[in-house]
Amino acid sequence: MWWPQDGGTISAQDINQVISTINGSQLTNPGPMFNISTQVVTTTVATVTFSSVPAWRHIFLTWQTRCTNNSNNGNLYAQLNGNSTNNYYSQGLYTNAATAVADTHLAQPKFYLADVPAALNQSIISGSGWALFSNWSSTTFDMQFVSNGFCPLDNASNRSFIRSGAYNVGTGPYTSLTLTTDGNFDGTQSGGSIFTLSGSM
Amino acid sequence: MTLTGITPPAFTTITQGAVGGAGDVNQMIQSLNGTALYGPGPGWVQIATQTLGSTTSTVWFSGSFPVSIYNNFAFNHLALVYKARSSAAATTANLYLRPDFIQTATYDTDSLVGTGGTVTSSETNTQTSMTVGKIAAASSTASMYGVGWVVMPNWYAQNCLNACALNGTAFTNAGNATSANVFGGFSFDFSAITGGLGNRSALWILTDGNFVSGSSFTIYGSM
Repeated sequence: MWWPQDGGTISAQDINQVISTINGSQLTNPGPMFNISTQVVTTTVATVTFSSVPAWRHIFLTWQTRCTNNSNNGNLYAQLNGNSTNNYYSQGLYTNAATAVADTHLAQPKFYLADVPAALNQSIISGSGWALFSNWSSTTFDMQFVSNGFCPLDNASNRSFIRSGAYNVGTGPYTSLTLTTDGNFDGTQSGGSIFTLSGSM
Repeated sequence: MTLTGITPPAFTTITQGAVGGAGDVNQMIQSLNGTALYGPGPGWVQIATQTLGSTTSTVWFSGSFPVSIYNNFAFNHLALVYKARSSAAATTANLYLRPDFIQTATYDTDSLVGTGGTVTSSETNTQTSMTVGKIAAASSTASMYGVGWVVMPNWYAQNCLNACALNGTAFTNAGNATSANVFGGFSFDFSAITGGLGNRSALWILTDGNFVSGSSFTIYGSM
């Protein structure tokens, strides 16, 4: 990718490259995956909301976080457009040492996106992962996601997991994604918690 | 051509061959730098790629990331996409990561491996590298590889490093000898983190035995 130097001198070649980029295929055919927003949490917060999410083809969420719940682990939840009706369905599959565990959450008020470490782990521990909302801009199909992540735990087996889910109350448009957890998101550990929303057109 | 789905930028339509004003150019440059085009940075971009021309024991990405090539922006998140095969005398081999080549026994890995009608869950702790996948090895049918991708959120921060991975391995061409895998792991070299190491700058990729010629590895980053 061509990249102009911040503060540097702009040459005629740079301008031509910009114009050809805009006019050409790099941004519109179909273009790379752009960052929409990154939120870094350095305190404890109850929700992380991405508002004004554009009607792009695919939306991709990446996170590293932990929660304040007084337990080994909690969940990372997501709601679409702030809707809390019991129309979210999630299915998970995760490791528990030598046992594979499947869990399901039917007719819930939110997606179960991921496992995250909670307060009983040492403070440096946090969990990470990604979730893909494929065809976010569709007005034909229900919204679905697939996620994958890792949840390290001090007092139990770590969890490597994959999850998927569906929201069955019709179609979008979807303009916001609200993330919650059990208790609050804890961003007080070194480096804080981070949530990045990306998308492609 | 009108840019669709991008709001802002404030500029509207640029006609090919037309001369734009200075404001247009500045706006476009800001957009491409990530200032106006939503959020920080350009999103997921390719940082580097390697296709091996010979048998190689260790694939190493370093030097040019995470801070050098994009105006000293750091990449918050990294992803590795690979297609690889090992020379190890086995049907399959593991794929390992060593961020900053830290090789103390400070890595845990948990995995789900589905082969045929069986799913196997396993956990290996305090290892000297992080296992993030399986690839075909010398006893598998020639030309069979393993493919997958590994996401490392918050790579750059002073925080514990996690990796989560989805991958598949084909080890015969009979159609019934493949596996679908979910791997996850983390580095708990906390002394380095609390001591302020953070800012990881290199990634080593290893396997049992060596990577064979033709194996390919690509690193992507997101700010």
